[in-house]
Amino acid sequence: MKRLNLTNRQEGHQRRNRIISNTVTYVILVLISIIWVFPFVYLLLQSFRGESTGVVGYLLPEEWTFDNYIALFNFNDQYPFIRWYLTTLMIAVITCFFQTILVLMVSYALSRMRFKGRQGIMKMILVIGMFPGFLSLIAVYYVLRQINMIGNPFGLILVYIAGSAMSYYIVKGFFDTVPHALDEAAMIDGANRNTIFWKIILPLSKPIIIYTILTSFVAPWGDFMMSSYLLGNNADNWTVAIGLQNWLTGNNGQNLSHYFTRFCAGAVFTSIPIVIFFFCLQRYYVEGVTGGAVKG
Amino acid sequence: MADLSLRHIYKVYPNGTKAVSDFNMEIKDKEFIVFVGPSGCGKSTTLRMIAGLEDISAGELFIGDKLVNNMEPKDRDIAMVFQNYALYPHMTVYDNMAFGLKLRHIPAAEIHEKIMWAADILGIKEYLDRKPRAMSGGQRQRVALGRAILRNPKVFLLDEPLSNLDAKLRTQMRAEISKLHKQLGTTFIYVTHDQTEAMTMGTRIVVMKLGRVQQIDTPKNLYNYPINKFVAGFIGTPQMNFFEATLKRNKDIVEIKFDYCDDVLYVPFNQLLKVQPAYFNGKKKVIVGLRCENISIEPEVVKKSKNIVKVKVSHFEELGSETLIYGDLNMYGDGYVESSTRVIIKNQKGYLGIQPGDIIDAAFDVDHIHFFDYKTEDSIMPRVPELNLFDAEVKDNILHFLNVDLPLPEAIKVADNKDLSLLVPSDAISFDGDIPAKIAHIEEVNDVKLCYLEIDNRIFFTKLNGENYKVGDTVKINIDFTKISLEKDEEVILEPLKTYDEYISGFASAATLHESKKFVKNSIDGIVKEHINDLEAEERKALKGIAIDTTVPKALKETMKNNIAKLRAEATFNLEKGDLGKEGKKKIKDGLTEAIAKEKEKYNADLAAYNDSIAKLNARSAEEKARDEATEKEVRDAFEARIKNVKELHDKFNSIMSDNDAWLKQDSDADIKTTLAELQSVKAQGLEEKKARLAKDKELIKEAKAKNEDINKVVLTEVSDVEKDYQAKDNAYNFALRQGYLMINGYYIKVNEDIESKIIQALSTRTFVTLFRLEVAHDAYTIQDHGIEAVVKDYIDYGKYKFVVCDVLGNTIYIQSDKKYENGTVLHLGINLDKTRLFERKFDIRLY
Repeated sequence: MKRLNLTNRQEGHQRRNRIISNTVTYVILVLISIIWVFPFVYLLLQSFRGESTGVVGYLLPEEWTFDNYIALFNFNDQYPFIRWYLTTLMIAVITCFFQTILVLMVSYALSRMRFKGRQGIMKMILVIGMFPGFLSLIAVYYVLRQINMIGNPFGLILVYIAGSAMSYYIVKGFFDTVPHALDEAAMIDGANRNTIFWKIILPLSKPIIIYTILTSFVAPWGDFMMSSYLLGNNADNWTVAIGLQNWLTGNNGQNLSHYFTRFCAGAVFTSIPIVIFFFCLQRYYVEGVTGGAVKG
Repeated sequence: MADLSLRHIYKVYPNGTKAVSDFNMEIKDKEFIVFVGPSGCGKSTTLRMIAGLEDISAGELFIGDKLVNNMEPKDRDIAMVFQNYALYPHMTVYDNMAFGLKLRHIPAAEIHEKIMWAADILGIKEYLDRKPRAMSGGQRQRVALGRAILRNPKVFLLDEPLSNLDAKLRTQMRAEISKLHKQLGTTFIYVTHDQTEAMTMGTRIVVMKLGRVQQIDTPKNLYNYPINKFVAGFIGTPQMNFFEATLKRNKDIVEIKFDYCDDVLYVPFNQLLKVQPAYFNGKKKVIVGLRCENISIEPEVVKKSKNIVKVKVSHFEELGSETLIYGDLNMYGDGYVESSTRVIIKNQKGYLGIQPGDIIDAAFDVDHIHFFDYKTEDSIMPRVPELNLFDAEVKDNILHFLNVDLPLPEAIKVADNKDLSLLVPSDAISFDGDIPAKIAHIEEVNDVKLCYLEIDNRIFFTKLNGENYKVGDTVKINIDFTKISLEKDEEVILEPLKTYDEYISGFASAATLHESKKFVKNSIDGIVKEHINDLEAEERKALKGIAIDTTVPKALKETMKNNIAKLRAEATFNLEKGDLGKEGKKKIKDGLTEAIAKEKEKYNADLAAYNDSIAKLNARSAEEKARDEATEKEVRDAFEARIKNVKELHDKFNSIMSDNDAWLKQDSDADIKTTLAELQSVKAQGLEEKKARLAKDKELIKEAKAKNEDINKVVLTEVSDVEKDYQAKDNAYNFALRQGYLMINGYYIKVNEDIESKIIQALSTRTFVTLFRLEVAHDAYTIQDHGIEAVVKDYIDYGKYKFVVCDVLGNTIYIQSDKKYENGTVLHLGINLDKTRLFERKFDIRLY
């Protein structure tokens, strides 16, 4: 009996400790999420402000309006946001399509095939990938100018796709976990490399395909550095990132007072596709599909 | 539904590791072959090579009568079951099974029918819609089996299919696979590390260890006649008991004395006839093997038996139907540790009231006893003995053994000697002589007919090669003197003639020979240089102890310098390896200093030893010195002459090579020249013809077009005929350019297609930069007008065979020939490549 009491007392002690530590954890988490969410809330609120277009010192707008959003859809504006938006979408979609295919194929080859210089190539790509992309900016600029592609979105697409195989590493890591016995079984079944890749490996790789699609869409969607150098000065050719940046700093900083609320609206609008995209694909992101392939 | 043939199969990795060495096997149709061995023995690699998932480094693999080395897995008509099933997880069972058939474009209805048939056999009909992840291990393996049997393959490969299943399921699936084999009647090859699976399922078992085949035999033969200690220990549970012992023969009784205890057994010699006689001297250590069921402790058996040993019982293992009794022959042993006196006894009748610590009598059943060599661990009681040993003596060059007097041939000169051991390999005995012998018994071992011969109450062995003798016949035997050897007290007095002459050889195609002679020249230069190096090394060896070798100090210093540089580089590399901390760095540096000091010490020691030897040489008496100097001069002269000879021949070859036309005219192999020249002219002619014909035809076509269609057609076919003819000539020319040649000392031997394909198969592009070792049997030579130059040195007579001894670039070779040649005659030799063997030198791979 005595011993039982002791245990009960001990248990009570443990429960109290757990409650305290949980509370501390939650408080910290709540604080962090406030810090994270605040900029977006600020952006959202400012985008509905109607009383002035400049930067103000308070959070809640006095006059609520949709004008900032409506202004975004004017094709004939000095700064045609909707044109930028469509250009960016096109660039991102095309890049995403090709990049996904290329990355998957390169990763499969590096994971499954054994050829001379394989290790060397992998290491080289990895090391080159360590350097920031803008180091090559000047060179890329001159090359594109030679082939007359400055100011042309397809020039940008070309640059994005050309470097796409660089991000093979994570995908290769995934392919390495798919048992080689599957390839071998398929080989004996009569499949060639092509069939194995499309019919066996890809259906098993949904999570990593989704990952690749997401990363290869988001990168060109939000890229500022490359596009601002390669798309020139004509506002009609810009992407969203250049345009938004221009609204903040352009015209020797005078744009800020005219376009700040519109900038906020544009920023909110720009983040919409990414959010939709992620919500649609999120469930594959976490799901593993290799279950049952081999003894597990 | 096909035979399988593996010939000299090797798997060598680029770093030189041999995963599989010289795998030879003929697998007959419908056999169930099991590869068994501990992990890493190369059994899976071999299977994967058969499947085509792994390249074959060297050797040939035939499925049916097709060479499949370079065939894709899918074209080999095989099916494979993997250890981890390898089912496609995103497909249903039905789709999994249909996948292979769909890829082969078989109509859907047929696929369906086949799947239903397979599902029926394997009892997975109700699971066809499921995905693999919703199934248990046993069911998944069944699906994998089903996928494999659907295609009706010629060979069925299974790579440890049961090792992921639990014990009960394994037994069940084992039976099912055996049943499947009976139902399908296909060749099965099954890999496992579990000897129970191997024993229960295989019609024949291949036991492997470290990439080498140990034994290939039926389960029963493996169990009863293991070829070495490894096989004996691997097959059978509990493991066979091994004891260390010595054997001593006293007339008809052999005494087996066990080490580390006092037990001695006396066995009649008749039961140990096949034991190699050299082990009966009471000195050579052997390992005695006896399975636990051949040791009995039952009172009736013990009472009757003459072969009793004392065992101290340590503990028991109760298995239900039988009991394992552990004990030790050594009264101080503990019976738990695997030692050379530990003994396990299987008893069907329980403990019989024995307590741990008791000392009991155990009867050894000597009919089932095995003997192995202590060092090599090979069985010394082979089923087909290869060697017979007789006591012999030699007087006036007459060999006396078994009451037979046999004059030795002229070639063998042995001083009078008594108490010799005469070793006669069983294949040195033939039936065409005049020594009378009785056939005491004929035993069939696998494909070999073993013949027990009796002379003077002594049994010895030979093999029957198709001769039709019966037991009791008296035959007249002959002994091939080239194969016998004589020993006295382990010292060899007479060595057998080596079976092969060795050459270093390169390989080239006619195209290389024809078009880039520089390449050939370089190869020859390489061969000559190597040859001279070899000779110099040999010379140094011969001079050791009688002459001062001034190159030694320099060589030692060089070695030391190299070693230190290596150590330094290694240390630098280690230092740069990343975060080591101060201590790590210091450790490496200290290690380096120490290693360098050691290296220097070694150098000093070596140098001191060298100086010592020089001092010793200098301290010789004048008489000794004079004698040694004479020997030295002799040796040096001999080697100088040999090296000079090599260089001369090389120069000669170079002078031939230097002039293009002259070379082709004087070519040792007229074949290359004539074939190529002829073909080239034919080809040129063909081209001319084609051109002329085309020009003419163009005119005709013009006319014909104007006239009518029919003529047009006729002309067109004629044009195509000319073209075809030209193409054929061109092809023949190109084909001739591909003809392979083996180069030996600057001469070329045409290689037939079979051997050529084997060489190229094994080494692909490396073929042309590798030097080979060619071993030539003595009867493979032909004497002809041109060919390898050989200078006759001697003629020796072995009675049945006679040899011309020749010198080829300093190497002595033996040519089997009944014709005598004057000493100094230059012979031109051709070589019949069918009687030769070719080896890759770096990894020692036998190519054919």
